[in-house]
Amino acid sequence: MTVADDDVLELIGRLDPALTEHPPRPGSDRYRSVLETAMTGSAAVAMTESAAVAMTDSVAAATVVPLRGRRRGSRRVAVAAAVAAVAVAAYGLWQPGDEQSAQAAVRQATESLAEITSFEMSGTDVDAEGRVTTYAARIDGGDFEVAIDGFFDGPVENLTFTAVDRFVYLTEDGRTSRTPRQPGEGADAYPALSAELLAVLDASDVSELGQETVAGVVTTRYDIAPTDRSVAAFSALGPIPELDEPPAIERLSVWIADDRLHQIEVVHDDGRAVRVTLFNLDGEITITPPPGPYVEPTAP
Amino acid sequence: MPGEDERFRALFDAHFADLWRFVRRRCATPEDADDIAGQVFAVAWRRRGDLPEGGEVRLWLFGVARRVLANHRRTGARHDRLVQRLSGIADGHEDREPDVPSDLLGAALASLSEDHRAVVEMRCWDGLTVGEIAAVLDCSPNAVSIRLHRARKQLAAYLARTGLASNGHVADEIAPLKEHSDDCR
Repeated sequence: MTVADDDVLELIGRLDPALTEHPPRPGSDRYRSVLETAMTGSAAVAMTESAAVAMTDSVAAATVVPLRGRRRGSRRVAVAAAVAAVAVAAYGLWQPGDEQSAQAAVRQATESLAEITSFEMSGTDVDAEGRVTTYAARIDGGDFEVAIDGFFDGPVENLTFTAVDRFVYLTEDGRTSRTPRQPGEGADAYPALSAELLAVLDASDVSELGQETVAGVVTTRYDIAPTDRSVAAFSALGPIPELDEPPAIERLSVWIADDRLHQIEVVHDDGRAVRVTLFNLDGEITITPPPGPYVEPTAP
Repeated sequence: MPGEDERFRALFDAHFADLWRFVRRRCATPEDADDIAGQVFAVAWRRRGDLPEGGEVRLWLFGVARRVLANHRRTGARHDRLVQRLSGIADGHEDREPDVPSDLLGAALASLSEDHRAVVEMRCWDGLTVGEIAAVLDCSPNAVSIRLHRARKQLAAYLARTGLASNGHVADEIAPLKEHSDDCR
């Protein structure tokens, strides 16, 4: 890519349609009309949001739980539930066979989310169209590294995000760009999930399904089924429920071995399925920046 | 203590112009911008009891505006007209004899996917930071970065196919525009 890449982006600014048009002046008829429309509620706002959000959301990226989907709601429910399960298992708070204790453990784990330190994971995401994306991630406190193959805002091969200290590095096609890290990019995003986790899981049905062997490890499987109440509670947390479609998570399953989470699977009603396997919980993990030079730096 | 109406009017006064420009950049006519801005503030009025505090309300309004705009586009072909119009804009004057770089830039922008065009527009037109764009789109800053990264590549590739990016015209055009493009860095 040439040095003109940034110049091109800069030039786009001259196409701004609002450069020569100005909003109605305060006090003008148009200004008052818009205000009255808003305050009398005559605007048609009973609509639904169906435009796809094609990328992983902030929670998914920040926690490196790689969940994508067509609908923000279902994705966030899945992420919230999955991260809660991670926290529960990581801290050995899960009480098999005791639903009430499980709910209490979720609450306690939710409050402890910020204390998670390190783990590794691999995952597979099969979307509704059957496209397969694989993930491999390492997390050390607020730093993380995640490699993605498959489909992520278009086909990708070995796309890697690395977050270390103050920067996030994006490596693709042998090129690495570096961006100052924004608040929420890293494990510090866990506390922000608390309300969502509680809303979703406190009202969900949890059931123990018995033992299953996963990758040679004997585990106990639990299914966590969101109820209408948990979905409604989650929806109420959205910024504008009337504009968002409701979440559509069909099933969340977790496999636990030795009081630790071994695997998570999230199944959506459109057929999309995400499965992640966790290992090396609280192990020694060190994340280092990819080698430079860094090209096309993106300003904060 | 100011009443509910008074507080909302203050919020409206503080953010209307900013929101109107945000909307205007994404719809076909000033009249459409008025209508859509009214719908956005109608949502804010009905949810006035739990609006975000401080500066976050601005990004919240932008996020609502995106949804309202998406619905607006589904109801007609206005967006198509806007995309077509982008190719004809030169320095914001549609009737002016178009200059080649702006025509090409408009066409290059119109060639991007909706996701990629959105981050470029928010960056270059609305002057939002990566973090602010992420808040408006309800996605991660990483996602915004990768979209910008790819949008740049696609824009440059598009212009390279026309010979613009590789023959120095871009650099020549930039110098007089620098002072007018402070929001797009």
